Amino acid sequence: MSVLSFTLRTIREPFQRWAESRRPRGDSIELNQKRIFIFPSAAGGGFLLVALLLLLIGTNYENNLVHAVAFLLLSLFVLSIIHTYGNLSGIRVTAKESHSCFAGERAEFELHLTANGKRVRENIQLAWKGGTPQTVKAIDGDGCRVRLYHPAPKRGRLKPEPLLIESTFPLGLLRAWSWLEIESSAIVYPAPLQVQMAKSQVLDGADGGRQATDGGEDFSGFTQYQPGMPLRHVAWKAYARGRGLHAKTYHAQVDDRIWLDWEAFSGQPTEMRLSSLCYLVIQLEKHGDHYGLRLPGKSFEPDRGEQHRKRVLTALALHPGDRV
Amino acid sequence: MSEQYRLSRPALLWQFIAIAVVVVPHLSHLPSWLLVLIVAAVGWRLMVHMGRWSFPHWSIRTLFSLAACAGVFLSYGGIGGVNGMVALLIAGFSLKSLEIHKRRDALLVVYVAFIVATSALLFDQSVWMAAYVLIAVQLTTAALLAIYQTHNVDMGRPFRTSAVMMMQAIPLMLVLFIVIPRMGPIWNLKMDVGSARTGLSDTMSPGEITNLTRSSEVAFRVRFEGKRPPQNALYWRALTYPDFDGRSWYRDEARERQPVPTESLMIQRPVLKYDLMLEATGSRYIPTLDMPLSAPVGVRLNPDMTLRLNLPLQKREEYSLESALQYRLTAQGEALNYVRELSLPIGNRRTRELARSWYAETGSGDAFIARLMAFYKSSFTYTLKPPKLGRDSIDKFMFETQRGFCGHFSSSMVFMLRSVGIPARVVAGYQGGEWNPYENYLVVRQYDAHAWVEAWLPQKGWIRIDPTAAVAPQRIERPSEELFSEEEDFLRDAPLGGLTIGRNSLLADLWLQWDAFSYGWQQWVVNYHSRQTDVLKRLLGEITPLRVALALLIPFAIVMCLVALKLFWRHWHLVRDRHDQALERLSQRLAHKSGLGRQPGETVKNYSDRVAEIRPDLALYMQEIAYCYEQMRYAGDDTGSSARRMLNMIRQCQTKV
Repeated sequence: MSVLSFTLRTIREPFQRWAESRRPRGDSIELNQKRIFIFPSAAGGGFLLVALLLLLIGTNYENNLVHAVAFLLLSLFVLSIIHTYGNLSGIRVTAKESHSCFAGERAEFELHLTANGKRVRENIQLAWKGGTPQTVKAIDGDGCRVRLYHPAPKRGRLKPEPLLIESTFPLGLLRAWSWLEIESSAIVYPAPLQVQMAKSQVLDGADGGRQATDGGEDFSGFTQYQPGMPLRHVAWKAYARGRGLHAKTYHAQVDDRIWLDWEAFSGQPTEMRLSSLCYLVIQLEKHGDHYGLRLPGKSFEPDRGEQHRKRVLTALALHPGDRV
Repeated sequence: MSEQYRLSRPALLWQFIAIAVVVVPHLSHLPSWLLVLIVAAVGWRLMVHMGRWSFPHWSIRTLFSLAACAGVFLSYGGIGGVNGMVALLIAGFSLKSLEIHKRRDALLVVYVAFIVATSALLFDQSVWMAAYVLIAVQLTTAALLAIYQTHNVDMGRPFRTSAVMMMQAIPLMLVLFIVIPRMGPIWNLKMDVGSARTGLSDTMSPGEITNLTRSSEVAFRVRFEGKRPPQNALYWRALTYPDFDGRSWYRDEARERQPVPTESLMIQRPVLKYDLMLEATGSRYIPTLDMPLSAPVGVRLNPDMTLRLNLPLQKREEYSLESALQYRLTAQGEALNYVRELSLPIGNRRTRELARSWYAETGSGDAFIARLMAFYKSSFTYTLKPPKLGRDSIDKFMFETQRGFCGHFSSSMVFMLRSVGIPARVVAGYQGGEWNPYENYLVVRQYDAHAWVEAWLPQKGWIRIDPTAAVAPQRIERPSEELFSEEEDFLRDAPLGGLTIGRNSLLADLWLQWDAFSYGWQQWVVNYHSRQTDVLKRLLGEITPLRVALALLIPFAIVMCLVALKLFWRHWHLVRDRHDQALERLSQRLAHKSGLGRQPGETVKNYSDRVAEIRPDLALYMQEIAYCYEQMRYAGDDTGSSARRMLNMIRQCQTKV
C-alpha cells in the first residue's frame, strides 16, 4: 500500500510541479492550447461503455449496422474533444475588483470573463482550488462579471488559490480545464472581537500622551468586567467581597475625537488586540464618531467615513503578526 | 456541478422525445402492458414537472420495477432473448424517467436510449430502419445536449447542434466502419428475432404454392460469375419431396434413416459459379441451381443433391456456390432400389390404370414421359385459381377439373410415373427470376416459387421434367410477374404489388433501381464483414497494422482539422482582419500617448465617445471611424466604401495623435 502510494506520489509530484510551472499568472489571462487540459469525464466514461457494449453486441450478432452506431457514438466522442476545447479556449479572465472581508468570512473577487470570436461559451464552472464551483451560464464577446468568493480564514493580504476554470459542454463527455494563477488580492480584516469600550483605551486627542494609556485620572465608577479589559482595572476589592468581577472605569475628557491605541491592550496576544481594535473601529464608525488609531510605528489622525475606516482596517489587517 | 441540478423544461421534453422515438421500432413486439407502463411513467413525470402531482413514493417505484421485471419475464419466458432484453431496458428507462432528479439520472435515461435505439437494428437491417435509427440517435444526442445547455435554453438549439455534430461525426463513422477489423462472435447467442418467414415449406399440398405467388418478397439474389444462364434453365432446387400420403407431398423424417442408394454425379464442365444471398427463411434449405458441387461450411449436401443447413436460417446470409448444369446423377443399381420413390398410397385407381395402359402402349420410360407431356399440353389449363379437389384428388384432377398449376401438374405426374415403376419425386424450389440490369444480378422473389418433377431412368439417372412447361411454356420462359399479372390472386398480399406490374412502366423501372439499391445495401453494408478484407486490400494494397493505423489516422486528422477550422475560423478571421488591426494600432498609440487604450469588450462607439471627451481634437475622426465601423460590420455595406473610409480616417487620426 505504502509502496503504491509512494509510486503514485513519485509519479504525480513531478507532474504536478510541471503543471504548476506551466500555470499562467497575471491579472488577465487568455485560455489557449498551452493552458487547457482535456480528459474524459465520468459521464464520458459511461458513454464509452455504451459504445463498447454496442460494439460487443454488433460483434456477437455479426451486425454491421450496430457496429456503425457504435462507431458513430465513438466519433461523437472524438468530435466533442474539439467542441469542449473550443468552449473554453479564447476565454479571457481578467481580475477586476476584490472586496475586503473579515477573517472567517469569504472575500469577494470580481472577475471579468470575455470570449473572443462570435461563439458564445456556455456552461462554464469557476472555482478556487478547494472551493465550491460556480456556474457561468454564458460568456460572449461583451463579457460578463462573475463574483467569486474565496474563504479568508486569516487576516492579512489574501492571495487567492489557483482558479479552476472548467467545462464539459456540449455533450458532457469530456472535461476541459485550466488552472489560472490570478494575480489579485484582497485585504482580510481581523475578525472583530467584541469588547466593551473602556475609556482607558480611548484617549482625548488633545493630550494624547503615552502615559495617558496607564489610565485616566478621574475615577468614575464600576462596570461589569468584559474579557479584554485590562486586568489592572479589575476591582479586586469588590471581587473579594463576592460582588462579582467588576472593572473600575475612569473618566477621560471625552470629546468626539477618539483615539484607539494599540498599547491600551497590552498584555494580550497580538491577534486579540487587533481583533478588539477592529471591533471598536466598526462600532465607532457605526456611531459616526471621529476616531484615530495608533499602532506601533503608525498612526492615523481621527477622522470618519468609509475611506478612513478602510484605511484603518487595512492597517490592522496588515499589521505584522507575532513571528515565532 | 451541483448535485441539486434541476432539469430544464426543454431538457425534460427532449428526454421524452428520445424515449418515444427509440421505443417506436419495438412497438410490434412489445406487450401492450409495457406500452401502458411507458405512457403512465412519462405522463406522471410530466404532471410532476407541471407541479400537479408529486414524485411517486419509493415503495411505489420499487413495486412498479419488480412488477415490470416479472412482467417481462412472463411475457418473454425469461430475458435470455433479444426481445426480452430490449423489453427490460425499455421498462427500466421509462421507470427511470419517473425519478429524474439529478443530472446523473437524466444521463442514464439518455445512454439507455442509445442502446434501445440501436437494438432495433437487430430486428431489421433495411435501409429504412438504418435511416430511422440514425435520426433516433440524433434526437437522443439532442436530449444529451439539452441536459448541458445553460444559455438560451430552448428546444431548437439542441436539435440544430446535434444535427451539425452528426454531420461532422458521419465521415468519422464511415472511416471507422470501413477500416476497423471485425471480429467473429465471441460467444454464440441464439437470435429469436421474428418468426413468420415466407419461403418453401416442408410439405406440399397441391394448393400450397399459390400462397407464395401472393408475395413479392425477395427470396434470394444471385450474382453470376460470367454469363448468366438462359431464363428457362434457371431451376433453383431447394427441397425434394419423396413421400406422398394421398393429399400432400413431404419428406418423412422417420424414413430418413433408411439406406439410400449410392449415387454418383458425373458432371460436364464448365461449371457455373455464383454468389447467392438468401433471405431469412426460418428453414434449413438453400436453393441451388441444378447440382451443387460442394457444400459451404455449416451446410450438408443431401443424397438428393440439395443443401441443408445445420440450423434454421434466421438472418440473411450469402453463399458462394458452384453448380453443374450438365450432369448425370445415377445410381449403381436399378429402379427397384428406390423403394421410397416408388411407393404410393392406395386410391386414385383410375390414374393408375391410365398410366399402366399408356406404359403398355409406349413400351419405354422415355416414350411414356413424352406421351404424358403431350397429354398435359393438349388437355390442361394453367391457372392460379384451380377448382377444389376432394378425395382421390389425383383422379379428380386428371379426369375432371384439368385446371391447376405447378403443384397439381408435378404431383399428378409423379403419381403417374410411380404407377408404372419409374422412380420419381416432386422438387420444390424457384424457377426463373428477374434480371436487374442496373447492378447485373438476378432477383428471385417468392412468386417465382415452383414445383417440378425428377424421374429416374436406367440409362439417364435422375432427369428433370417440368409438366408446367408443357401446359404453360411462357411460365418458364418469361418472368412470372409478366405472366401472372392478369391473375387476380397474384401478388394479392404484396403491399406495392400492383405497382410492379407492367414491365415498361416508369414505376417498374424505379422498382428495379430500388431493388438494386437495397441489394447493394445488403452486400456492402449489412454484409460488410464478409467483404472487408477485399475492400481493405483494394484500398490499402496490403493489410498491415501500420497501413490500417494510417488509414484511420489520416482521415481522422483531416476531418478534425476541418471541424476545428470551422469552429475557430471566425476567431482567426477576426484577428487577422486588417480593419481591426488598424484600430488596434490606433488604440495602442492612444494608450501610449494619452492613456486611452480600448478596453476589452468595449465597443468602437463607446471607445470613440470616450476618446472624444478627453481629446476633443480627435473627436471628428473618432466619430467618423465609429460610424464607418458600424456601417461596415452591421449595416451590411458590401461595397467596401465604409471600410476604405475608415482606414483612411484611422491613418489621419494617427498622425494627429
